[in-house]
Amino acid sequence: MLVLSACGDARSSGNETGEPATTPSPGASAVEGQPTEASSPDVAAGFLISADELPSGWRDSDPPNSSFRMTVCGVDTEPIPPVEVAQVRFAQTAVGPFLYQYVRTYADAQTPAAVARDLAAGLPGCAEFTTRGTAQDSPEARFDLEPLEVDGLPAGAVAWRMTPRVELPMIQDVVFVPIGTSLVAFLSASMGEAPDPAALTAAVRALQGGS
Amino acid sequence: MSARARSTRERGATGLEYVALIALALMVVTAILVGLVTQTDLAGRTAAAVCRVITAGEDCEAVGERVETALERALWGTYVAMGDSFASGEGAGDYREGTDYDKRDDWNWDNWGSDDHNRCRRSTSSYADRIYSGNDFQGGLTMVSCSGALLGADVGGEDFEDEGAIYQDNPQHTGEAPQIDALDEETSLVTMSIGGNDVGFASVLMDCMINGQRGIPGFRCQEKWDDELGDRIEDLRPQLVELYRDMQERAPNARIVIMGYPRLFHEPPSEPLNNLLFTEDQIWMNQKADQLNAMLREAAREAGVEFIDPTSAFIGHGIGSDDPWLNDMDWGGPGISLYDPGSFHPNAEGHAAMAELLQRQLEDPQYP
Repeated sequence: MLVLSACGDARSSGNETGEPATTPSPGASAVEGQPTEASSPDVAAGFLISADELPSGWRDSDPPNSSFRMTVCGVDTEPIPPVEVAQVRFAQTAVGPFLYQYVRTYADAQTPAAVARDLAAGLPGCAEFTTRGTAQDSPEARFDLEPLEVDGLPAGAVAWRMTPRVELPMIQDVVFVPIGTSLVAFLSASMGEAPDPAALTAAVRALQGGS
Repeated sequence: MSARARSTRERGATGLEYVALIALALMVVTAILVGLVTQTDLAGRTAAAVCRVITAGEDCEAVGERVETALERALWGTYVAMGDSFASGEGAGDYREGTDYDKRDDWNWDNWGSDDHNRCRRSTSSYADRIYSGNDFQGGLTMVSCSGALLGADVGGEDFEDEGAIYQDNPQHTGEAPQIDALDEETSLVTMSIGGNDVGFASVLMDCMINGQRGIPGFRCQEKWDDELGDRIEDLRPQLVELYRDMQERAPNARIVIMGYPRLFHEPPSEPLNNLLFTEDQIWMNQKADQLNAMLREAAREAGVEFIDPTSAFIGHGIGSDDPWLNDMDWGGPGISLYDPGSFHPNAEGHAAMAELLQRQLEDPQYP
């Protein structure tokens, strides 16, 4: 079962457009995509949380090497190119558990809301999915999918657990939160065992300004 | 003592000094020729002094001025950076355009729909790029190092010749010619890190984690892999000597510097790394890195090329330390499903440290 609950809708003090009012953590990477007049600098980076907002034992890790774009149960998580991207990663040890945060900011609020809405509609009854790149010989990745409950999810957010079918799987608890023109994703991942829910709960709370 | 006796003894002493000076001069000339003398002034003055002894002083200042320092002998031509991911800068970020594309990253917009898959990941933060930026190479930089590159050796009873990137096109990466083709008579410096992939360090590390995750009772990575890894390392040595000698033939005017591999883990290990890599495994893998470096040093000595061991520089900066110069484990797309090769590789700080070692070696060569 997917859990959607209401709680605030912006990071920190936030504002009506959902734009953040905080600064990114030191290990973060923020990359401007294709800037448009609708985007202001550092919107995506402003949603990044920091290690000190997580339970004790978490530290900054190297920024993720790639994006989180994929097609989950028929839903493309990045249907159009974002105008800004930012991502950060935290770790407890060099081999995990890890907490990833990906922020994608668009020219308008329709895309983030549509992605979250399509996921909420598409995930129930979807127990597994396969995703791959566009090249003819792209490798495929196959995931098993389960419902996930996360405390304090804001309105419009969607959550699930996914596990890749590989020899050493990272079990991933995922949350997507649409905030204005941005879509914020958290992945709490641990190798071979279920991630501690406390990290994801703390991350979602930090995104909402520690409420 | 009479003036005559004193005069005779002084003449005798002068004669001995003259002989000794000639012997010393020959040694100094030899040293200069093999690059042991590195200081411009010292080398120049010594060469001029030797010249004066031999030629009674004609045009000897010019001789002194023509002596090249060890560093100058590395800079006069082209710098060719060869090797694997530890040379290309995998894990250090800031990859050169066209060297970070993989079909599995088609989920990234900047590679959407592309069939290219060059993932050599040549970083502008790599030790090679740093050395090139900090020195004035007359012939520029040719960077052919590539993540995942193997010599293509026959080790442990398995022949990886078809997968080698040194002597043949690299099938894993679009547009990569054999690395060895970059060498010629205009090459003044070659650096290379190679051998880690032939030995199979990454797959052993993954296997250790998989078995650690399974919690197999009594399992220790060392018990499973120690002999096998040791055999592979020893199998590789003569093939590396052969490679180094071939490089000398192809680049006869170049200095060839082999860069070893750092230990991966902090010593003593501070934690069992999420129960995936036990402290014993970390200690053992560090010992294997030492064994690999010892073999690389021996191979370099046998072939007559230079060697740098980065082990000491990385002490206090291994995985598990408070200031690691090696990356945490990471995954690539789609999502975080595939092991990313930047895992456990030196970050930008690690490459800066290796660049410092290399710069020191270029200025003041130490031979294995």
